[in-house]
Amino acid sequence: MLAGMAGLALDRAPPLGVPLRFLLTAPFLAAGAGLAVAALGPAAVTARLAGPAVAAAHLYTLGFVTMVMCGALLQLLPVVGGGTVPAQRTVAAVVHALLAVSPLVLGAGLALGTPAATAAGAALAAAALAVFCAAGLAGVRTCARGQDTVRAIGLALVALALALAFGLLAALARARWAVPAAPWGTFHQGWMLLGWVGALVMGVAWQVVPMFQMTPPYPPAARRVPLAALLAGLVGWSVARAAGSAPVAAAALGVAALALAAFALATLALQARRRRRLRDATLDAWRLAMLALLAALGCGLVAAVRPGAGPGWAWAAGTLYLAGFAGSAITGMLYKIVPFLLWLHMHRRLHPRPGATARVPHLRELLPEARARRQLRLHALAVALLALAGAWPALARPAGLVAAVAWTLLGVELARAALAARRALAAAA
Amino acid sequence: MSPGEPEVAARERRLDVRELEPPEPLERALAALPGLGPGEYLHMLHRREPLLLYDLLEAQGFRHCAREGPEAPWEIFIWREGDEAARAAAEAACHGG
Ligand code: HEM
Repeated sequence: MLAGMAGLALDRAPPLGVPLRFLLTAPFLAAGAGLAVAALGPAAVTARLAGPAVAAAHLYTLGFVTMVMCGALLQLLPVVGGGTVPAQRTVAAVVHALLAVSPLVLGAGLALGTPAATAAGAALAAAALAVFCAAGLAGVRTCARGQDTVRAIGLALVALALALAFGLLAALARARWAVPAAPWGTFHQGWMLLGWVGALVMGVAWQVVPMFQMTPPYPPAARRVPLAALLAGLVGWSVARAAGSAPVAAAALGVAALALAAFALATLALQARRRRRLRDATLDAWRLAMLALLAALGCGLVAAVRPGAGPGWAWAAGTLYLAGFAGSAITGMLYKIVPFLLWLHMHRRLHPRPGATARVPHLRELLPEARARRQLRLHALAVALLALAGAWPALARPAGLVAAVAWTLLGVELARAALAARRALAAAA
Repeated sequence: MSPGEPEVAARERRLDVRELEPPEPLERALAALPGLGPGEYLHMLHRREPLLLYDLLEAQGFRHCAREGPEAPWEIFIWREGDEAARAAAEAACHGG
């Protein structure tokens, strides 16, 4: 019967601490990135690839985006894919610690121009990502075959490994090591953003949008075609760039962008057909994410076809993609997943045997909707200001400050939910 | 429910969670189970297979049988462990179609 099989898969679900530590730490590192942008001011926009701006970018991409995505994967691979991540507790502890510390060291090195700290930070981050890629890919291999989400996760992890190698080469080139000349930094950004972040958000959306937002499922073609096009576009772009064929590279990048646009439109269409019309912070966060993704692709297009357009368009594309698209999708996920993991944990603790009667608090009591909405409004304002700073760099300072407040508040709301769960457990003990 | 099965119908408690967002289906099921009387089983209508529920059921001393369709994408029949009458009725309903 099914019970035995399902029980097995769930026995592998990690203990609460494995994913939770990532999810609770990450927002505070995002807040740090907001503060860094505020401190840099207009230079964040106009000198985007100077050391301090790259440091701010990595506080966010490593400390927040990658941090949450790693924590979520440790939960998803067993529960959605039925896989086992080897040594999950150790992997979680090591990767979490390295991902929390490395952006700070990397950031200090780049911001202060201290090569030793930069190198140490990059090495720590590289170690975190290498461990995670290895463990994650081993976990993917134990998953049941044929699931689209598992395939997307596998692609995202391969993209992460490649992008890591490109990032290290870019870092070595910056440190004036004699690495072969190539646009390593460009490859790094492309594979990180479109591959690691893009493929992963897509694959996770196929599961969580229908489940949590009560929409119809994504049709199989709406999953497989964009994923295949994203991969083909990224490979084609890289090969053509390396071979020096600019038009082919542009066309291939366009294919990858179209794949993401198709994903955004499919998601918005499904959300418009959802069954239940209750207001919900996660739904709104994901809508914002899809609209920001479309806007990011539009700004990216302008930056690509009008080389004289200035750095503002690339900045707007980058912030809309990272804060607007990835950040909003992650925020929406966190508002569902953190209270749910806490609730499940309480249930297991308080009702371990038949007849236990201790009351488990309702999910909405752990994290009230009104508080989530308040934070989400602030987040949306931060995204808008960050993007507009592309046109008016003077906005960078207020944008960074609003972002810092919004993301601190996100961390505080999640921490409050965890504390409420702990109090409920203590009261029942 | 066909008219030929009054006994089974009398023992069945239905719980339709198809229109509810997670984790409400889980919460509703766990809330309904303690109220099952002798010989009664819960017949859940669900959009998805509730893998997490199975895990929690076991811990709380319930057993289940699940099938895909025909009344809902997933139907789950749940009874209290040791309640032979409920088990027989639930399994008959689960396998009987
Ligand atoms: C060990 C980890 C990493 C290393 C060593 C690294 C290294 C670098 C380097 C050297 C640059 C400058 C590129 C250039 O010179 O053109 C850069 C830029 C960038 N990286 Fe990374 N990176 C890492 C992780 C990540 C991750 C995880 C992400 C995203 C999820 C990411 C996204 C970016 C972006 C978006 C830029 C452009 C920055 C800007 O516009 O200011 N990186 N990275």
